[in-house]
Amino acid sequence: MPSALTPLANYTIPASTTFGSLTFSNIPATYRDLRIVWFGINAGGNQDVGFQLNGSNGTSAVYMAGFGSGTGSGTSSDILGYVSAAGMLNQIDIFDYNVTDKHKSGLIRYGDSGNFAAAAAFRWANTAAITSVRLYLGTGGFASGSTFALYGVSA
Amino acid sequence: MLIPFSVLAASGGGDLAAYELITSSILTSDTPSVTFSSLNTLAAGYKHLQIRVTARSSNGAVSDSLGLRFNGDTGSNYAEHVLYGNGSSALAGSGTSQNFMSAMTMAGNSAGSNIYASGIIDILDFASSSKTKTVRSLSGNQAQPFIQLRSGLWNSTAPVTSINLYSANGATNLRIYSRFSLYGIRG
Repeated sequence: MPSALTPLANYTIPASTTFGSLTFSNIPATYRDLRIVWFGINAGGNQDVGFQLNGSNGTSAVYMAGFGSGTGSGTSSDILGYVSAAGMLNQIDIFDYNVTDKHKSGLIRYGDSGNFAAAAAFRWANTAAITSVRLYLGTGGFASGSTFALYGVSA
Repeated sequence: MLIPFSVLAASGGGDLAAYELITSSILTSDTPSVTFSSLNTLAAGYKHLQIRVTARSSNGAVSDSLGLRFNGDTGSNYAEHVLYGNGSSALAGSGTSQNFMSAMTMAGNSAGSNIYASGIIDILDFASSSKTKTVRSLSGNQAQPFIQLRSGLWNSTAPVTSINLYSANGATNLRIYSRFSLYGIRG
């Protein structure tokens, strides 16, 4: 039986290079879900990472985070990831990305040993099939060694 | 940086066949429940199971609970814990001696149009006859909003042969377009 998890694309930012954003484009409608596993380094330190689907804003999220011995919860718009100077591991699951009968929703986990662990759920209030995913930083950029991998999940 | 998809597609690879689709149920009409059955044969050879869900129910509230039962057991043999964030606070809860476990939160019928909740449910060592069965899930319902991390216990060492998923809040249906995909994970 073939694997239900298919690697579609991956990229590692090369030495002495920084990118302010990264886009997975022309994503085929072949699969049912998408998973993005990425490790983000920002020389400037901790920073939220913006998120656009099909080049559009409008994603709302609720998150729950553990900070050392404490916890918290909040909401955000178009912020669905995090980077740090040491590097932050992020995983994004986008459900039913290829159908047009529901808003797009997903789950996120991110964290590192020096900051916090967090989980978030998001919704993009749009029924369009997703063909591109963009991650971006407001200031600074994804530094050398940052890695990004996109997978398709069959259903 | 725009990733040239076709180039990077060629740089993928690796043996990931430890994770395989067993079956998928995508509802074409409102349905009381979804049951994955005959898992002793259908899921033979796998160590763990995973269910990926997008779900909405006809319950009149903004959100609903997706109930889960194993092997048709309706006795008080389930327990659960939950950590959740509601956008302002992080909270916790638990339950014991329940006749089902809540696998995740899902959208209810008062949620806005086209809103479905999503979740990933892991069922560990489902075929073991020496361990009670444990479940974990991460799910979110943006209509509420909720993000939930759950653990569940079925206090039985019987191998899991069927999984029943349904709206836990009364005689309501799982809505059309809800999706339940069952995967096997080799160990």
